[in-house]
Amino acid sequence: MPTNKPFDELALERHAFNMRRMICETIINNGEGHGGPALSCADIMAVLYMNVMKIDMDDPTGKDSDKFLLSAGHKCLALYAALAEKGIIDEKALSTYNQFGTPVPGHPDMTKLRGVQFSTGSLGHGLPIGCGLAKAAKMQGKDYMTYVLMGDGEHGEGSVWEAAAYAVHNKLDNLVAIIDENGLQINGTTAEVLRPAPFEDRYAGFGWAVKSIDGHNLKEIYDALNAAPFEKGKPSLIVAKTKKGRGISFMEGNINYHHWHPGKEEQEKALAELAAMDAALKEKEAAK
Amino acid sequence: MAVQDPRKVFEKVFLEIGKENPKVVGVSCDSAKGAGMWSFVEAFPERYVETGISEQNAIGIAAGLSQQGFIPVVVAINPFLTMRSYEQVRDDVGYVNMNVKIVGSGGGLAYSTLGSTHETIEDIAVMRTIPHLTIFTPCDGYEVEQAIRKAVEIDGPVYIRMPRQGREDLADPASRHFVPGKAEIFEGGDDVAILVSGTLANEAREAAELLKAEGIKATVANFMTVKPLDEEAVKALYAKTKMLVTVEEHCDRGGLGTAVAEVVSSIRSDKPLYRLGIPEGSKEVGPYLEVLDFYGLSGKKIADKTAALYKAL
Repeated sequence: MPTNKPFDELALERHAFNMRRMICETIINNGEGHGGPALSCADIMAVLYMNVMKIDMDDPTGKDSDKFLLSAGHKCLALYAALAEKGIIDEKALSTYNQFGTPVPGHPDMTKLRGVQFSTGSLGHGLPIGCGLAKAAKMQGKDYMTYVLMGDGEHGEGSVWEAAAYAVHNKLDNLVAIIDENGLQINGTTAEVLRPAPFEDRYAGFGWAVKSIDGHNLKEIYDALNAAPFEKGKPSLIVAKTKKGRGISFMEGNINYHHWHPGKEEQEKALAELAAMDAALKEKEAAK
Repeated sequence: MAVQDPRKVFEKVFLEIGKENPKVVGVSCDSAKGAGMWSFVEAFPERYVETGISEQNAIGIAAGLSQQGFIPVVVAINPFLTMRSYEQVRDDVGYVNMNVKIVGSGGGLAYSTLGSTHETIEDIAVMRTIPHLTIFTPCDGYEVEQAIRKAVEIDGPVYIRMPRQGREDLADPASRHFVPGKAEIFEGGDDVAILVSGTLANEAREAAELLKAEGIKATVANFMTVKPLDEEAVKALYAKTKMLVTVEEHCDRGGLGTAVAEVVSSIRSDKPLYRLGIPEGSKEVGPYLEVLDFYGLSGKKIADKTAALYKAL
């Protein structure tokens, strides 16, 4: 599949940074939010929206645009930030996050916000809907791709596996599933809570074509997404190894930041770290 | 009156609809043959989506197909679609108003020999609270045809509680004109109104005849559309008669009786409303009509109960 832009690491770093800044500022301004999960997938979302997906800006979820489903809907701040960074929505909308009447609630709602392909929130719904979108493309002879981002803990839901079987049986090679594997869920590590076998083995056993990547390495993300379909006639899975809370030192890999309620001290620390990241990026940008 | 097998009616009509409307897609959970979709499948294999025994997945897939302009019609045995996939129907179809048609084969006690996992007496209760969803409960061949045709015409989600047993035509099909959201009134007088949805419509009419012989004049109102309920018809019957009796092949709470109670509860009146149905936790097994009779839902028992209640007014 063609990309919409050639790889530009520095530009992508800037996009991913901007998204992390939006995610953190939105939570700081509103008092709470799923910070760890959004930061975990921010790099993947930046590459997808800024460099991979073919999006008709006049009709971003329309019949010919590539489709993106955030099956793990609680990571919505990463989606909102990607939509703002792409210019599909105005970043100002984020200031209303979780407020009465907001278009950007704690789970994405297609009836409230432009750019949201499908409302999600209950886990295990995205891959079946993605199968429907991918199957529709096959039936209609359309060439859009369907990307579904799932969490690792989400894989406790049986409906994921119903869809995983369907995608293989129907040869949906226009479907790309991405697992944001940060290894943490609410009650512990995924290894502690429920992890019968590595995702790579389970999906390969179902018949998917699988790649495993560093989910914070922009080049690896870019290469994997652009290599899809990995095999003709098979759905593609990218297992992205990530860190929950990536980018903010005290949140990174820390189970306590699934839902972040930043106190004053944490707010200041996070903003200071973002400012330092921004400064470092500016130096790199100036040197270019 | 003629008796038509609902499955055969569905088979014939769905094939016709397939020819008429290229957007219609058949989604099957290993159910296309059992539900009467096979003629469509053979005629339009490219519009046949088989998910295997995975109802949650089937609803999600239907939602995706619908977003791309198809009109998916999902078939499976009733409780697996309405209850196993309830949350998918709620989140991925109802709240987001997807143009998906859900055909649950065998509502009520249709699978009366297969026990409580297959009997479906809670579906209306749970589906009734899903936004945008229209609910049809056809009772005979005419109504099955109308249900599937109107469901495809409606731009939005529809749940059809499909009967399994062939029952006598409720009336001469040529004399009927189904309008979604409107009750069909069989005028019989203003002592009692029997409000019925779906498969017990024949029993309700039989009860009205039996009551007539006892000097009790009963009007029967057939609510093939349970949602949106024809509230005006309910109010008019409540005003005109001395008592209402609801009859349904469903749990006696949460279904038509409850929906009617919701309408009359805000009307200042001392007229009673009685709800006849199946107590929660039905586990009785046996031939369909025998199990109905056990629950007091034969025409004779509906008449007896109604007469006793009426005489006690």
